[in-house]
Amino acid sequence: MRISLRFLALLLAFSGLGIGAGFAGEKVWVGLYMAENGPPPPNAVLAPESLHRSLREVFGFKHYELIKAQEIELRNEWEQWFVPRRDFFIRLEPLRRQPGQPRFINYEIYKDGFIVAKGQYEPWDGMPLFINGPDFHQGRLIFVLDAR
Amino acid sequence: MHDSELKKLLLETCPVRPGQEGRAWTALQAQLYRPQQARSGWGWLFYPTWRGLAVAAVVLALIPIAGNFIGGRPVALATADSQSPGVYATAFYSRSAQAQVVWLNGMEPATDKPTYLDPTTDVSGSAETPQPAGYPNSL
Repeated sequence: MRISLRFLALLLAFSGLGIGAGFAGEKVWVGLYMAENGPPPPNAVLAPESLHRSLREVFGFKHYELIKAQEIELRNEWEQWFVPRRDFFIRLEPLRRQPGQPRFINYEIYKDGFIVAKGQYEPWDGMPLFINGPDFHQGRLIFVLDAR
Repeated sequence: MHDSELKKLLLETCPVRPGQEGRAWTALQAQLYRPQQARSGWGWLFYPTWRGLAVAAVVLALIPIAGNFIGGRPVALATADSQSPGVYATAFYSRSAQAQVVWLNGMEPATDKPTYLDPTTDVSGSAETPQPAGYPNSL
């Protein structure tokens, strides 16, 4: 009986962790990738294997080179900019989290200084957001947002 | 045929030996109470015991975890609205990639040409800062 109760206590403790596993942390990693079919430069920082697989499923390019990355704090509930290029950048604004509700982020995509699209996104661990950007040279620019 | 006649007939054909009723009753009792006395592996499932309570609590705790992995996640999909004429925005979930996707169509390709962020009074011969990955507009 004592062993059973210890086992039960352990399981309840781990189940508490498991219930919260799906929710996102307090940061969102934002990166701009350059998708291309040609060979990447030798010093290029390529997407990790799992992300590469996901990106290839959606966009079909052979290589994904990281241009620039940044982390934004979701607790900072004001606008934050990620400007990896002069002509293509994104504005993010974490919204105030209501008790018991998920946190949402407003985003705006800018191209050549003008807003081209906006929307809302709920960060989840293990489920990134890909934003298909403009073509560039023989490839394409892609924003990746990933909850941390 | 009356019961009494039947009983008489049975006693004549199959006489009950001394002690036979007692042995039969003992055997019946053993059969009836054996599961409880032997405490079989699943006996605890049918009676209120601490073990049953513990297992029920564990099962209840595991249900939400299992639902998290089996039933899919109740995720609100990303939204996307175009803000520019000629640009079309669509949001969808890619099951194979396990990712949300915002697809923007109709944008002009990005270039290496100077943008509005570049200084308009460029002094020729000024030191050029090297750009990462060889893309002039990368910051």
